[in-house]
Amino acid sequence: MKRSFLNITAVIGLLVFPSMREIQAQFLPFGRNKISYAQFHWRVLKTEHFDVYYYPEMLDLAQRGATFAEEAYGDLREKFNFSINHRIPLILYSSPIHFQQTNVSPGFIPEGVGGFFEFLKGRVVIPSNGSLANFRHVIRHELVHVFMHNRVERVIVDYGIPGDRYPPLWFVEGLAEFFSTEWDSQAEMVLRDAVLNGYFTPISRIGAIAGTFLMYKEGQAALMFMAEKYGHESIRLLLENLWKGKTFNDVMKATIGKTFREFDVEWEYYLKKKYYPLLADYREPGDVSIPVVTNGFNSKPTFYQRGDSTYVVYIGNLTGYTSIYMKSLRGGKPVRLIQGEKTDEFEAFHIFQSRMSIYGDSVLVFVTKSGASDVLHLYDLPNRKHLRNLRFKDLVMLGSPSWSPDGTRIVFSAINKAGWNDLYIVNVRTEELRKITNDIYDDRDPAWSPDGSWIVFTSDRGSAGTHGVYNLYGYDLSTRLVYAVTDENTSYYSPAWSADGKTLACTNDRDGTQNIFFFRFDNNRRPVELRRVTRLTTAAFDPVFTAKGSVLFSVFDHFQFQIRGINEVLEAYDSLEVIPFAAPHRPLTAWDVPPYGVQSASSDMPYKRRYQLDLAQSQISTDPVFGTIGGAALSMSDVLGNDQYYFLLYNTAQTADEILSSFSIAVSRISLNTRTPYAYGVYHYSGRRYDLTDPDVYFYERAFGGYFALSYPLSKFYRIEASVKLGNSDKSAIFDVRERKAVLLTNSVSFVKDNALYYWTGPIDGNRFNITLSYTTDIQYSNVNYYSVLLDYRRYFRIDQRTAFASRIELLYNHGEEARRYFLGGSWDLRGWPFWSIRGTKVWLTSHELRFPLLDNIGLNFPFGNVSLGLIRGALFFDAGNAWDAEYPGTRGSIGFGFRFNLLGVLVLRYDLGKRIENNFTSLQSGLFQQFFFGWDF
Amino acid sequence: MRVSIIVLAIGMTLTGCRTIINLYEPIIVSDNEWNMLGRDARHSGFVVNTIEPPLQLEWTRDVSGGVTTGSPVYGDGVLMIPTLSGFISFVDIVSGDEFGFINLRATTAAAPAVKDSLLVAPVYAGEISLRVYNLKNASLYWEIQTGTVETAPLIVDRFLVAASTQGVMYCFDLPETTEVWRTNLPARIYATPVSDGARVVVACSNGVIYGLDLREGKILWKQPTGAAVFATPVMSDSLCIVPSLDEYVYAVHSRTGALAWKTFIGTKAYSGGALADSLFILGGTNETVYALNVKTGSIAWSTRRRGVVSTLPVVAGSVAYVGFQSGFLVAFDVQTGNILWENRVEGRIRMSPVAAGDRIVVISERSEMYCWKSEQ
Repeated sequence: MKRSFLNITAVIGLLVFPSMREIQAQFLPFGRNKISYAQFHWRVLKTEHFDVYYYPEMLDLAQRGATFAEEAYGDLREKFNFSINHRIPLILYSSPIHFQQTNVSPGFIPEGVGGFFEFLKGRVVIPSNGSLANFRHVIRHELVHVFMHNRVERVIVDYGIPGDRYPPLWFVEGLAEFFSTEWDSQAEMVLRDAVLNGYFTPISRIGAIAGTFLMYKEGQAALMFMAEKYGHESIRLLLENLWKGKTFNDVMKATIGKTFREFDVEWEYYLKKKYYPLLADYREPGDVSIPVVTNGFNSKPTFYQRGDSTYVVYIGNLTGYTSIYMKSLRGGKPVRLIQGEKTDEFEAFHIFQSRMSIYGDSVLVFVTKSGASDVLHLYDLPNRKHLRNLRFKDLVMLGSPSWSPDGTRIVFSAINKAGWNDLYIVNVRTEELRKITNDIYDDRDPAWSPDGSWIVFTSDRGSAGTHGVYNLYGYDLSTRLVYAVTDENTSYYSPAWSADGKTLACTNDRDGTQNIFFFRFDNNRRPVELRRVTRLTTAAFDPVFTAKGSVLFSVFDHFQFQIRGINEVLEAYDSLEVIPFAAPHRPLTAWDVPPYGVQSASSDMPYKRRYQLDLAQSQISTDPVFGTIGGAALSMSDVLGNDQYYFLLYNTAQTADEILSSFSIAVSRISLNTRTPYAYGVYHYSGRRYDLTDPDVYFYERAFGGYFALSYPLSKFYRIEASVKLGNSDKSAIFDVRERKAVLLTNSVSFVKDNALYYWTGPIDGNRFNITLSYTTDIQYSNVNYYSVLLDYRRYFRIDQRTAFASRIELLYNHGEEARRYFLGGSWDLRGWPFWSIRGTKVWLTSHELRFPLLDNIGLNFPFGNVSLGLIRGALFFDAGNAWDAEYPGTRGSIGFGFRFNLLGVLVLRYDLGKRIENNFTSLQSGLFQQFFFGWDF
Repeated sequence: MRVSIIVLAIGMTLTGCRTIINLYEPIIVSDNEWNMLGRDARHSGFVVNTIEPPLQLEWTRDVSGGVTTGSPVYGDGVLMIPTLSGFISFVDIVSGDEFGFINLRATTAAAPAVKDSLLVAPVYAGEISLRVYNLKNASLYWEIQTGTVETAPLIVDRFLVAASTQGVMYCFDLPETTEVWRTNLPARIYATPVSDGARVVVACSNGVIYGLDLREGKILWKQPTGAAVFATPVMSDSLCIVPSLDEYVYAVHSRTGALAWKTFIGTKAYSGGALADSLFILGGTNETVYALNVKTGSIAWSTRRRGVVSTLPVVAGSVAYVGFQSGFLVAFDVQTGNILWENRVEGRIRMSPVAAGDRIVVISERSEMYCWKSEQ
């Protein structure tokens, strides 16, 4: 999986706020919605080694992607000395927003994910983000995974070693980076900061940062060092020698003669020798700048002045939700202007990607994802009021809007459906849109000059752009021509004008990482002087000027993104270091990528669904009551994951005579490639049953029928669900003479909301609810007839970053003939009471819980290595409720304290102790109860 | 004899001998058979008689246990196939039937070598790295400790030359079971050494080719290349031809080490080549087979066929057979590079084919062995 630095907080968020995990609540489902906004008409481009899946709007991009893929194949074939002998499915999207709708992976795809390789069917799924260099990099990165996976599989089969003998994640991702890209300024920034600020994590302990951007880059750096010291071929040999050791540590010893720890000693020494001398010539951010915003992850500062008051408006993530904040430059606490990622309107900020702009002292323009695409938001700063949205039909992702000086127009970058990132100007009043660049190059961060005559932007259109180098360009608004401002082999980003229009601030990575520089121009807009503003050990970026000539910027330091400033730097302009600078002289547009040619009609064809197996599992179990049960489950789906079939077959017969009458079969189809996903299926279940809600009744049931269900997501956070089910149900009690026949028709409709934010053991922010109404009736015999009203509402009040107060109220009401019963008791609801011991057709329950961090880390040091148990959280809880059929038996409850421990991110272990509240809430339990179970917090 | 061997084998088993040899027939291999990687100590990969395509599949056989790099060897009508599961399987070339095996009890990833009735197998078994078996009486003849050996052993006259991965060259007197010399080189060795009868040439992971005196182990000369060498060098008269991972093929004089020529082929060659009269034929990772003029290094022809080549070619008279990772065994006209015939097997071909008399034998990575014979 490729992750980009631009969304590093999304990656961090995954570690700190594992909110993407969805859990099934006890009775009613929640969860956010992955919406198929766009209906893609897929086609397949067949190259020599790939089946490239694309949609017609992005044909040009797909053909270039195919070129990149074949080029990478040739290179990796050499690096691995290995052929892939099957066609590789390469599924391309023209933008990250389209990519997030893929059904190849069932879960949500966070913003920071640049692409992924899916091991089961060997599918590679990649979006473009507007940059061909990045597209090439990600394609290559994922294809490294393809080659590595196939190579490792081969070693496992050849040598008959256990299938879990896979290289560790740092190697897997480090190799994908090492073989796919050069060491760039972001990688340098992260590694320098880690080494110089003392949190560098050696290979022997790299599990502590598993999955982070830092791990990717440390892995890449480790392999670069290994290749330099032990030869490039040592990397390939590590894969081929996997059979030589039970652990990767052994494999490394057998291949290069060094264990992890021995390698760490050499590598750390090498890095210290490389980076420590920087301290002599470079400065720590704290030495040369003043802190403005230091907590959380912050970027894209924008200067705002109203009267004598000055502020910085910025995009930050303090709580797990990315939002827009404002802070006075005189100090004080930040104020949140726009709460992001909780509502449909501000569904996602593209943190680190899109700048903001303020017209005069009033209107802020910024970008968020809202539904199917990004929109521009206009926000009245003095009145703290959202004014309006600007949405553009063919533009999917927007970036870095910049006001014209007169406030009538906004220039911004946008990725269209074809996947190209160009510049556009919109008239704010008429909403008339004009495209001002139109090519394959990645044009970003436009800055309108204060005199209104030209726009400076950054682009990879220069001759070094194939390597991902960005330079500055100008767009003349009168001639409508683009011309080069710089043309170097180092990258310039984030141009920003001073108020008087004489000075342009920007960043450049000539030092290995980004630092801030100033340009000045002659009357012909030619750059005449370049001066250095910062020379930081790590990096400075996103510069903006204040009215008084100070500069605000983002800084990466101690693994934090801070906003810092240098006061009145323009006054000291003449004292800044002058940097030699060559005026551009090369042709403006210098490169292209040849599109992969389509040789024949059979090389490019409409997509046809072909189904492949996802899962095949058989099981035989023996139960003391029900005897032996055997069965199998199969699932299959098409390449794009849009259509899924599930098959279930099992038999509960205990004697040969029962075989035919004990078959259970179910077939379901789920279609996800529509705005309204739906499912339907048929089933036949027969056999002995034990109804959990009716513990005294063992019965035989034969049920068959069909169902249809659909879900309409109103947004990422809201949806309506409906289903209808018609089935025959014949029951007969085993220890009784009762028989019941019914033809049941069930209709249900639900309204669901979920914007909760997950932490280690459960939600800590947001809210969620589910209201369900359903009616079940026997349309033939009238033996069954009941209705259900179900409500579950949960709210999480954030107290600080890791502490929250959670409340839940649940009402479940079934009424009528043969109404089903619910159950309470146990660690998931009414704590302290025996598990599922309280039953009834009607339930009310309320729970309240203070969730807080207890122990951040428990480390155990053994002679063979250290074991870290991770984070343990605590909870103070109170529950009340009961379940009943006809007569309310009085209220039960509990109070107590609990420990929560997240095991490997997939399971939460829970230990509670406390006192039951008994006798209709009149007395406490005499002793203490203890309960140990598993499950996420409600 | 057969009875005695069976009795011996049973006896060894019952007495708890750790080496299990099950061999019903004594095997004696002559020097002009395919008795080591690349056929002979020069790794010529060349047999005089043309095996004319089209070929007809004579038999197939499942070689249990996995195969990767290396090569079978052949002699006395018997194929000797090393497997990753630690066996050397003895298969009758006519019938395809296995009639015996040696349980090495350790992985062997390189080709064995046979001198008369002594079979030398490199093994990955802790301190033991070479095991020598007597194929006359099915007994373990000698165990040698050299450190890990990932290259094929080289037998020149009575000398057994082995290169340890750690960069130490060893020479043993095979019949006498004594060490003759050892020489430390400054880098790891992944390429099988080659000999012209008087000298041993070995190329290392530091990209340097070394010439050693066969009888004393003294370093006579060294010649640098631009990258590590994994491919097996080939000796053509007085020239030693070495493909390097710098994408050049080097030819050095085996006596002096002087560079005769070097040719850029634009691809990494991990395996090595074979000789065909005045041509040196090799395949690369760019799915292309090249023929270089041995005297000048000029490229006579190149032909592309899908699939990485990581095996040594077999040249049978005027036809070169090359195994591709795409599973194709392709017959090339050695003079023109034209494809004369091809056939695809299940799985990649990563173990070098051999010419066994008038047959071509290929083993795919799915452990399936194919024996072809000319239809003519």
